[in-house]
Amino acid sequence: MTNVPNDLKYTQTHEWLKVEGKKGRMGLTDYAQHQLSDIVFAEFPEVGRKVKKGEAIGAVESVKSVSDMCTPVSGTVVEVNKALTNQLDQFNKDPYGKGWYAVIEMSDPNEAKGLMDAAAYKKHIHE
Amino acid sequence: MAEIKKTALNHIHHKIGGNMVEFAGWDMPIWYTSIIDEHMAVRNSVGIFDVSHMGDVTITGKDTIKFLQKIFTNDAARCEVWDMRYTHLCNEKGQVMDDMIMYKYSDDHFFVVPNGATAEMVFKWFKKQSKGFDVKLTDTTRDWFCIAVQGPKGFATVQELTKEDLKPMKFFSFREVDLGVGQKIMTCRSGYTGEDGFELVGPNKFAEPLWNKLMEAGKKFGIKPIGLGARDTLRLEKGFLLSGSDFHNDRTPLECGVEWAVKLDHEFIGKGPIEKQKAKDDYPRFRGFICLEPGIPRHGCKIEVNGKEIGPITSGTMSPVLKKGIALGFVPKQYKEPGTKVDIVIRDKRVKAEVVKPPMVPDRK
Repeated sequence: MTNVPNDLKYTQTHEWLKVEGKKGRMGLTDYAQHQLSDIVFAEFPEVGRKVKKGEAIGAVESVKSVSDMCTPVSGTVVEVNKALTNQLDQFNKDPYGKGWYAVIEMSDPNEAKGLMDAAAYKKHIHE
Repeated sequence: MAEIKKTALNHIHHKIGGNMVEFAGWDMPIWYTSIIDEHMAVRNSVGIFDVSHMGDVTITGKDTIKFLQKIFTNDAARCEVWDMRYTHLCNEKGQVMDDMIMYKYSDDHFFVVPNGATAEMVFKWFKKQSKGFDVKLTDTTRDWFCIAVQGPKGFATVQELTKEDLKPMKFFSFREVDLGVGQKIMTCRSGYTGEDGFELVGPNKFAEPLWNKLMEAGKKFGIKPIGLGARDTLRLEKGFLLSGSDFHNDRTPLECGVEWAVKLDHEFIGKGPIEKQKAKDDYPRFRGFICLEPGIPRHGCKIEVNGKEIGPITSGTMSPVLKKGIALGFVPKQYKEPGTKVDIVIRDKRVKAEVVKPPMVPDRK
């Protein structure tokens, strides 16, 4: 069974967002990591980069394919999980924990409210 | 939309949790547990593949050899009974339409296995080119399975199924062997992984019993079902061409680096342009690439030297054995030497790589 935690928000492109005050922590959903299979490469945005909701800010790659990482919210990248470079399997093993991708300081917190909740995302992935 | 084709083993893939995708019109497993685990199982022990989407064409009749000589770059007349020969199928411009293996039963009976994605096109081409020849063409792609058993324990796994000693079988030869499923099965010592093993071909009704017997026999070696994902990474490490990815009616056999499968002492479609190209000797070369920095090249990436584009990457992946990005592609002759440094452009970033002569992962001796 795909894990879809209730306290997160979701995008159509399979990123999750956890609102932490003015910041949003994002990553790849369990569904997406399972579809991709072993993640073997990740490209992160520069810290300080201004990003727009929906923009591809980096990518994760499995053996077979590339998946853009699209930011769920607009703002500024304030942290990226570069530690993952040496333990990329965390994307697969712990997608909502150690496998987080980046933290965005949100310029418009209302954007997060417009994202899918767990129930809507489950529907989106046909579960 | 056309109906999605299913192999005789389709229900097994679904049952054991195969991640299914549509490939060449077939519902096929891309991986079961993980591409890397499956890849390493084949490199270290043994894996079993359903590759029944591959084409199956039988050619019979007294003009069989004459007909195959006309369409193939390799010479059917040189193929011995129970031998297999790799060949290219070219258009009039000498460009490769598909690569395949021919199997000789007798002078008037050959069997041919085109690629899954091209099988229908190939059969139509055969039909068109067979006018005036006394040959009968039979396409059994939908009715026959192909199971590959590959890896250092691939031989032992298949040997478990029969009392017949398979050891004398040399690589790229085949036999009809009693594997205990009620009818002798075409047993070919070949594969697309660079490992020892067999490819087994027969009527669909024997596919499931054979699969189950092989799974049982391979249990002590930790046999794993392998999806098309690992099939691709395994062949890429060895630098084997993939029809439709590395060539697609746009490259000659010389460019593809398989001059050994072109016999210029017989007449065949596309021979003229190939001969001219050989005489001029200025054609692009097919090479392997190993990345010297993190990054994974993919089909369509550009190869550059000093900021100037010199050729395309046609296949790429992360090598599970080398744990580096590897690729196949074409470069102008002056850049063909192993050790030549190039850049591969991956999402606007230049990643340093080195030209190598495949295989990227050496064969074990």
